[in-house]
Amino acid sequence: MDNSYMVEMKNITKIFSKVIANDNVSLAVGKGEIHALLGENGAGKSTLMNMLYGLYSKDSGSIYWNGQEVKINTSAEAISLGIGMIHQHFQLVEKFTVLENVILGMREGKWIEIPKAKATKKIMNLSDMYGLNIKPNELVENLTVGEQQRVEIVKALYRNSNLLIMDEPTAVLTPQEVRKLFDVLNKLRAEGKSIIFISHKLPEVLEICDKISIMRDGKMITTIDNEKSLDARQLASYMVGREINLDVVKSECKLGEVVLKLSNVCAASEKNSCGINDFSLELHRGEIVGLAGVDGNGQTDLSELIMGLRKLTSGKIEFLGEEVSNIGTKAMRELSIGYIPADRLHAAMVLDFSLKMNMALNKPDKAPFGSKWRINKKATGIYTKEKMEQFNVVASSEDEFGKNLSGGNQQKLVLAREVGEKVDLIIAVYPTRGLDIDATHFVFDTMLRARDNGSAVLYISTELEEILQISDRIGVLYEGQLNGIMPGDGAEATTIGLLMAGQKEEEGMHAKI
Amino acid sequence: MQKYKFSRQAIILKILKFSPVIGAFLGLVVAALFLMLWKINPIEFFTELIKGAIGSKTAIGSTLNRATPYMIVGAATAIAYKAGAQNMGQEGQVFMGGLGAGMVAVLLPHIPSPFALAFALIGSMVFGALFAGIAVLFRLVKGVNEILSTLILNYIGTLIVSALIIGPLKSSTSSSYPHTDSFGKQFLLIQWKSFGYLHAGIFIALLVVAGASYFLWIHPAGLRLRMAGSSPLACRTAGGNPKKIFVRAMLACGALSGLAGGIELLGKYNNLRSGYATSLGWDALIVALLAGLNPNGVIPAAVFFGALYTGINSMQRTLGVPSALLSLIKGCIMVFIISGTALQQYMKVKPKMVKKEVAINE
Repeated sequence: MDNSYMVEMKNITKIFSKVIANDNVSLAVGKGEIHALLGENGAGKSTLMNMLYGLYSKDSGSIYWNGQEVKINTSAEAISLGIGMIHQHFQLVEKFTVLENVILGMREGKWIEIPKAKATKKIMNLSDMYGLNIKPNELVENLTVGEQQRVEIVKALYRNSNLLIMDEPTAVLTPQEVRKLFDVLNKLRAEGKSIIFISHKLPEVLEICDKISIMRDGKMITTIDNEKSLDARQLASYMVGREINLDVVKSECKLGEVVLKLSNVCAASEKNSCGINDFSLELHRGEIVGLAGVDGNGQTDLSELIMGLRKLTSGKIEFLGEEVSNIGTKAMRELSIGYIPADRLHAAMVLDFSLKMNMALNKPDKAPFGSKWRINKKATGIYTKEKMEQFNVVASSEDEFGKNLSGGNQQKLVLAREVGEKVDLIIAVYPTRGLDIDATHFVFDTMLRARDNGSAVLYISTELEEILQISDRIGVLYEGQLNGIMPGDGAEATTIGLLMAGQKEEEGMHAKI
Repeated sequence: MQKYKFSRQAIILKILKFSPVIGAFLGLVVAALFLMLWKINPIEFFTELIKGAIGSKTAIGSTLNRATPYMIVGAATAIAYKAGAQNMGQEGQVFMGGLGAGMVAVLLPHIPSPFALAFALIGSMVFGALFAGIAVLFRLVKGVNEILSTLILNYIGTLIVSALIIGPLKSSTSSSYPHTDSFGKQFLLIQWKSFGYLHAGIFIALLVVAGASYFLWIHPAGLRLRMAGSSPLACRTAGGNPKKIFVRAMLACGALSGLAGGIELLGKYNNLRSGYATSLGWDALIVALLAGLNPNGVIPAAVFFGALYTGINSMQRTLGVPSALLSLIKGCIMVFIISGTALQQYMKVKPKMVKKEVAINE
């Protein structure tokens, strides 16, 4: 056994009821190494990591920790070995301070005494050592996402973790926060800590990682050293299993009339949203306006406001010259609008319904789905089948239940329903979330085709890369406001990143120089 | 991840789809075991049960009469539950429905023939709907869960009827057993004496079931209603109004439960008496569960329960079995149906872990 490995997983197999999630997978992570685990959704990355962290039990195979074979049955055992996991959705108690969150669940001191002074000192030491900039007595709810992530890191280090598993750590960060995170990761590496970096963002993986392991369909495809000659296209083809073109081909933008006009619209904030504050935008035929922004800055609010799901408290919404403020979702649905909501599982589909009924969801009483008095199941089935072919929805039949489809196929079905016919306006919120490379490009193609056919597209996403690739104009959402808008050509990620972090446009431009 | 195999779990899940039927069967088997405590031969018990339930014209008539309110309330419950409205107040709504019909007949005795019955039945529906409306009001104003409010309203509903019968509505001729004045003949449903007093209510019940089935599975509004029950957010996104649908489903369930009470009263009795429909609403709730909350299943489930009731009633006379046995059998069947549903949920937990993995990736 080579002792230079921090952890070695050998020939791991895990079978869920119907699916082989991990098929004879091996992974070895060296000391002081940032090791990327790449793969599309459902490739088996999370299953593998959950076994390492003791959340799932493996069916066969073995795990070696510093050369010793270990059995990890619970996450407590994983933690005591020195494995820390940082989930994409942070496991923090918002009403607790940073200190309380860090020591939560640890058994230190006697009886009810909590050694706060000692803990604070240890936290500050770790914070200084790795440049984490932790404020121990701040409430977690007052921290930014990036700061919360650093609390998660210190939480793991406090438990003497030598291996950190990070699940999509950059998904919720602005480009500037990503830089800060990478600084921290570099320091951790220098101290001999190992990191497993789960991601699907190829440029980041190429930048920070030493080794890259790629999984596909439950199998480990390859583990390669990150050398200069490696590029994103190569990694993508490993992930998908064939050559792939990552470029988005865009024809020239031909602006038409104004389709959607938002004038100083406002919506009240709800429990987990910031609301919309004095937002104005004109959307023309034949253009894609991309709205960038960190999650939770009004993306859902804006789309719901336009679709009549939220009350417009002031301002005016016009569709093709006619005012449609507060006319209600039902009336909005009568207009030529395709709406792809953020929450695909709960808002866009009914998982207990068949695919054809999901197709008829918006207009069950209109042709071809039916009339006022009955739903025409046969015609609906034929139409659904046709659209499923057109949009490459893979399912056993149109009578399959929505819940039995993969995320990508669910999204394609929603696309088929919302933009399968020509519409004047498309509102798409996070349309590629959770999709693999192929499905993502399918979404791009669909949006671009609609744009070329004269639709106006509002494309809301947290993935800056996507926004830069697809948009004719780029706006930035920050706390429910439009924090700057610019042409898509020549827009720079750094500028947009600063706007996403809340800097005003002038300062942002200044920082660019 | 394309490799599939039929696991034991998948097979069990397939079998569990028939859990109502299996549950009914196992319930009867367990009940038969209890019978041995009374030294009753199970085989004899089941032959007598079948004979008592469908062995003669009279028996069939009684069975169908009993199945009539079960069908109506069962279909109504299916509609409510599909909309996500968890109405548990059928018992009270049935009683209030009877009160509505009875009050029309007693207070407006001079309505001419063709309208009398119609008015009385409309009265029963209005009363049932209004009574369900109280729970709706609680829910809309203060967010009170309808399960709790309707459960409590059951007691209030049945007691209001009793109170009115011994109070303002009490007949001057009634003696120790309180009841209202007799209804005029024009208020009563047609009966066929040779068929065990089978009354015309069964046709109304079949119409209601057919209507509910058409509404839920064919009418566009039925799709919206099921959407509201399965996924309120999707319903809203598609332009529906889940709140409105909830209110309507509750009121419809109340109205139909009331109708069942009215039909029960006007089909079997000629005055309103206390306890005329005791446990009918509860039984109908079991029928709805047995039918898998699908109107299409309500007819066999209702007939099954009607036969069970009639058969055991007749056995009380022939074999001398205690009437509490009916409750025992009902209980056994309920336990098995609910266990079947719970097991189904439990078995589905494992595949969810696969889904969870995708969720982490997102």
